[in-house]
Amino acid sequence: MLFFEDVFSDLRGCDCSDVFGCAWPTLPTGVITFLSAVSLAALVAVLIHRLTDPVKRLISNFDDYFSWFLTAAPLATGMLAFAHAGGAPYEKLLAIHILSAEALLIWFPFGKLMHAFLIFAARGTTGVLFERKGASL
Amino acid sequence: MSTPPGSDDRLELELDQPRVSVKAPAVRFDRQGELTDAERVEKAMGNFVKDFGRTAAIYMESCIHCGMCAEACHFYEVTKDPKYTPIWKLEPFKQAYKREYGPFAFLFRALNLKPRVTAEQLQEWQHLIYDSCTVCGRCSLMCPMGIDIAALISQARHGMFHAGLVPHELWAVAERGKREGSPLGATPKVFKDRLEWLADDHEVEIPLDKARAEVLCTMSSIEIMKYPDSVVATARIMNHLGLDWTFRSDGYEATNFGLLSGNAAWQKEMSMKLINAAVACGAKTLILPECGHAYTALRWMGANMYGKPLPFRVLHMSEFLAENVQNGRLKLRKLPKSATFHDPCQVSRRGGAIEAPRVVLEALGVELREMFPTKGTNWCCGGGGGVVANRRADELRHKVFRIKMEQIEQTGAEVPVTSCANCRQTFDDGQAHYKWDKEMHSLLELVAENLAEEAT
Ligand code: SF4
Ligand code: SF4
Repeated sequence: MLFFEDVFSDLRGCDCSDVFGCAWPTLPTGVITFLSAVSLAALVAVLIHRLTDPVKRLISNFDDYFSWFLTAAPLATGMLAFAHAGGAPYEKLLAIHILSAEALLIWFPFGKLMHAFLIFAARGTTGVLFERKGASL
Repeated sequence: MSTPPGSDDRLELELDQPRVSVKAPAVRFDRQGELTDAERVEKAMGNFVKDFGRTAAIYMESCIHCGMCAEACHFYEVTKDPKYTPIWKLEPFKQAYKREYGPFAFLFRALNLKPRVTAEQLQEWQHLIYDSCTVCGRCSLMCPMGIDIAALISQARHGMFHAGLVPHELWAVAERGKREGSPLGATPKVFKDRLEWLADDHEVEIPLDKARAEVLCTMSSIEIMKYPDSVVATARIMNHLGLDWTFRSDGYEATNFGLLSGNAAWQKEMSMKLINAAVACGAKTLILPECGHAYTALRWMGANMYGKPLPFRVLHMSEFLAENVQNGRLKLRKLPKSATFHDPCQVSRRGGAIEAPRVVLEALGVELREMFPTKGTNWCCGGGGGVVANRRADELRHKVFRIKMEQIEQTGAEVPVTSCANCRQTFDDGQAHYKWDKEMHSLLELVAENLAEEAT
């Protein structure tokens, strides 16, 4: 979900109609800002939970925190850019925002975020085995 | 400490206690053989990924460290100690996987992102892998990513076995199994003698070594040595049904210590004895005893050992009883009591034979009061995976047994029933420890005691 928001909000920045004759549909700015804020709040809550829960703290490693950081970064920088934070030039903030989103995409296949796809492989492997035995809850 | 040369590792068995184990060792040797530390680590890891490469890789890459498996594990549930989180029990193996086998292993090694696993670390983890895991598979069910953590732990145990890092008792039992063909000393001679003695004592006919038979029955060593009434019960039921059946001295032991200890060659040897015996007498059905892992070994892995589909059916005792209830051959007297069923993990949750015992209990006319949770999510008794034999684990095991007692007390049922001799001895031991007034019953024996007089 975070992903789509980000893509949608970024797409607002470029005008594809010049090239393709039509443009991606975009979401209204208010919605984007609201969703970003909610997502960021959720991410912070999740991080706090990871840091305070004794089980999660024990089993977490660099990957968990780094993946969190790269997921949160585009949201945070996007909101900063939109708000023209600290009077910094918009282009600079936008560049940082786009870079952070690219970093997320680059990291995606190497880290914890791959669970979005691996869930099918892992659950499938176990599912096939248990289905054969007829084991259930 | 490793085994000093010439020390007597052939510990005596202790068969007259609530649970079967070897006599308490004066000094524990939880490290076996003369391997160097580096060799131990290498063997542990090599055997962990062996035969399991792709599945292990998918699982290892998939864990999102959400910690949900903790709540599923009885060892965490009673202690709330994060070290009992199921996936944490595999930490050194995860570490080694990332460093040695994962897709980015070269990076992890080059930058030393994951330190090398040491023999000390493995020794420390022995407590987590053996003393505080019954391989019950409850965590595997709860994991949102569907990681079969229990399968990974038994794979880790394979590695530990080859590295000579096994708790004293388990190693002594496996060693005896290799030497005598039965982990608890139920050799063919002992088995024969016991059958004769039981047949005399109970005035029941127990056929042995018939050249041809439709049905081949097997037993677990715990039953042969500790619950011989189960042998008698099996004979009574088979005779009652008028079946053409036999025991065979060349294939009676369903306990597969090869599977338990993680030695694939032994596992195959043990399974092939049963398979060959069934083929030799032309059996159409092989019945597995009330034992959890025996079911996994032959029902779910047997054909793989044989290399082709088995030419006979394999049924757990509870499935066999249920089948004969359903086809009307097994007629039972009504038992006017309330009962509750303890699901043996390897038969129910991991085996899939969940309804069969309930069909039989219904035929017995008992008022079945299910525990909460029950069936596939029932709590483990705490004694599986060799934990019950491991003295070092006693204190922790007794703690987790409280979950079971509470569950049963809550049902208010008069008769707890199960279908696994290993669960039963764990209950016997827990009962003695807590001076509890509830005694665990065997489904098989309950049926044998309540056979309707007029045979069909
Ligand atoms: S529940 Fe599954 S994904 Fe979550 S920490 Fe445990 S093993 Fe990993
Ligand atoms: S298999 Fe059972 S005992 Fe072992 S870690 Fe999982 S829940 Fe705990």
